[in-house]
Amino acid sequence: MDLLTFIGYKYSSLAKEMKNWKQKIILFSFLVLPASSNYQLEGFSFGNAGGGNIGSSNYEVEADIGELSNQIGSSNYDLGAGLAFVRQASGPLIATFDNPGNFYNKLHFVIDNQGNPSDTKFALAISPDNFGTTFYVKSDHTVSSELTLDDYQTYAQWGETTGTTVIGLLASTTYSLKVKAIQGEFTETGWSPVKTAMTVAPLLSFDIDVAATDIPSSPPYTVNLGDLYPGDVITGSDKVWISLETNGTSGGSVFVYGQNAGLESISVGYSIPAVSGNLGALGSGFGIQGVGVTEASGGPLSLEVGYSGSGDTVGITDTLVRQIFVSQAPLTGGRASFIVKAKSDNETPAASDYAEILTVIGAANY
Amino acid sequence: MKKIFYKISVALFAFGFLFLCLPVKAQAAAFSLARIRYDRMKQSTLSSLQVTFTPATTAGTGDKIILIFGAAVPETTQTVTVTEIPTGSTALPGTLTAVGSGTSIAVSGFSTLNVGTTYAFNLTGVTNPATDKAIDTIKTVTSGGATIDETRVASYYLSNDQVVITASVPPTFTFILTGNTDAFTADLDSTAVRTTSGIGLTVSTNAPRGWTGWIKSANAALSSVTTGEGIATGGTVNAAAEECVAGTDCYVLSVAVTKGSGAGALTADPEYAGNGTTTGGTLTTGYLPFASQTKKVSNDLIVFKGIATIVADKAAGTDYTDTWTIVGAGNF
Repeated sequence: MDLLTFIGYKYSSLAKEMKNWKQKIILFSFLVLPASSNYQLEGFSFGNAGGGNIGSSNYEVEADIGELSNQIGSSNYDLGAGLAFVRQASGPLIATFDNPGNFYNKLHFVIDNQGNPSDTKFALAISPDNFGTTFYVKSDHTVSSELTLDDYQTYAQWGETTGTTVIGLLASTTYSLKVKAIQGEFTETGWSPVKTAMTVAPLLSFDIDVAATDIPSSPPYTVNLGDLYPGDVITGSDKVWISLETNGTSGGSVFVYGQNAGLESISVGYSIPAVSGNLGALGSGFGIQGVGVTEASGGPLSLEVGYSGSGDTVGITDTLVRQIFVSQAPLTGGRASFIVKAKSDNETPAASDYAEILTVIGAANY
Repeated sequence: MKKIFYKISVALFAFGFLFLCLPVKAQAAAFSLARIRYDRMKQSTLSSLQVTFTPATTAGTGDKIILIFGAAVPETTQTVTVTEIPTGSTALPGTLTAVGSGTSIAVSGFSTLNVGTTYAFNLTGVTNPATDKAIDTIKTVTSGGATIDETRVASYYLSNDQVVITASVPPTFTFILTGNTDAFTADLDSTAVRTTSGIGLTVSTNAPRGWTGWIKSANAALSSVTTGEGIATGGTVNAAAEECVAGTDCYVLSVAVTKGSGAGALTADPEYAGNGTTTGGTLTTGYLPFASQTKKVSNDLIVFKGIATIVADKAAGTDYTDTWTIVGAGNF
């Protein structure tokens, strides 16, 4: 029971016992709260610490006399009191919390260390529902419901002004982040004010065009090789262009596969086979050759080795789904193209219906 | 008053206890890698799937892999295979089964999945939506339904994901002589049968029924303008080679054939199927077939040799000559 409550209790008891109204006035006057014409102290109390001889030649107890109580802070600010507050680290802040790369599963933050010494350590709490549930940023930058001492990292370990990216987050989610600091025992601060940032939805965009130059086209997509005279390597005049864009952490891939494993003629029941290698040296065959890759940002988009030949060297397009272009990282504006080549020989029966259907697909790697 | 206080205290304690016991919403780990590859990206088309993932948390017997589709509609009956998986991935281990229901496919029967290992498997698939994009989810769950790992992935669908390659192979027929002159290797002699060096012919065609060659002689004899004499062709056209006997006027054609690559059969016409030294067929001023091929072929080789001998009183001259005209055609 604090002093005021105690006094109030005693006042109540005494008042009941006092018959004389003059006595009541005297008692009330004694219990008036400290005040001036403008301010009044709503409550006060005194701690029990301090006093007397509290040190020796080897030890000394630090103490103060009296601590404030009642409300001395708000949701954003806190006026600490007493020895514990004096010894706390300086309260850190979240300087920035953002999504600079349109990430679907990670967010970036920078701590404002508020001038704490370099050995100060910081812990971060993160929440997908405004701290209805609380997770913590682990030292490996993942999130977990457990906070351990290892997850307290120095300002340098959290990336200083460059910051850190917290990973393993949910897509399309607004996250709240707050930080606290500690510099030795009994110095941990409270949590900082919260900042929020949002992950985006997973993204995959893919398109196909068929044209001699890099321009949009509409389906159906057809590449006509024309007449295949024996021994001549024929290259389609149109290229197959693909567009790929994804925010997948591990980028994305483009695959191609054939329906007939070569140029097939139904009318004569014969196929010019899908092959890998130099058509100039092979008797006959059919294949594709990657000729260009580019991207606006991220990536890079690259060409798989099997399709990176030059001259008349082609990669196979059989019925297996084979990767032709790949990016190991998110990218925007990915654009790549391949050409189609074929060669017949004297044993290739004449027919005007040689055809292959190439299926070109893309997938994001999250 | 004490009773009320006691009841309130008990109620608060009970509430606090219940609050502590409530399940806390957990954030499952994300897979280290997750991918759903639609083998067809065309809208409103049945597509098989290949799923590749790297667990961040161990899963095992009794657990399930759940695919939740944002727009595609799973086939109810699903077959799981682990063939033709990407290089560097491991076939999903176990006796696998899968079933589609509603918007999801559940895969079960796998054995322990190790953290950091990339696994892959194929499913019969889904019917793609008519929309262009959707968000799908891959997750592993315990037998009790608790999520172990979970990642959302983007999927995209095209109006057309195929490129049709077309080509024509025109009828071809090549017919190449190695030269246009062919002299006897030695002077004609009544005591011996002489031959020319031989002239070669290479024939290729994609004609389904092969090709046929014909030959005719300008003079049906070796004629000399300066002497006014000739050496007439020998024998008769009788579908058989005939022998030149030394000391007689005899001039015939011998044809040798070597089949090129192809499934057909190349044969010299019996009239000219001589031995290349003493026998051959009768030359005429009209075309007679000398060889034929039954199917398309590359590089049939034919060698023509003139064979001749003379009577002892044949007038001397250096201009005995004849001209062969050799033609052929593909049998398309």
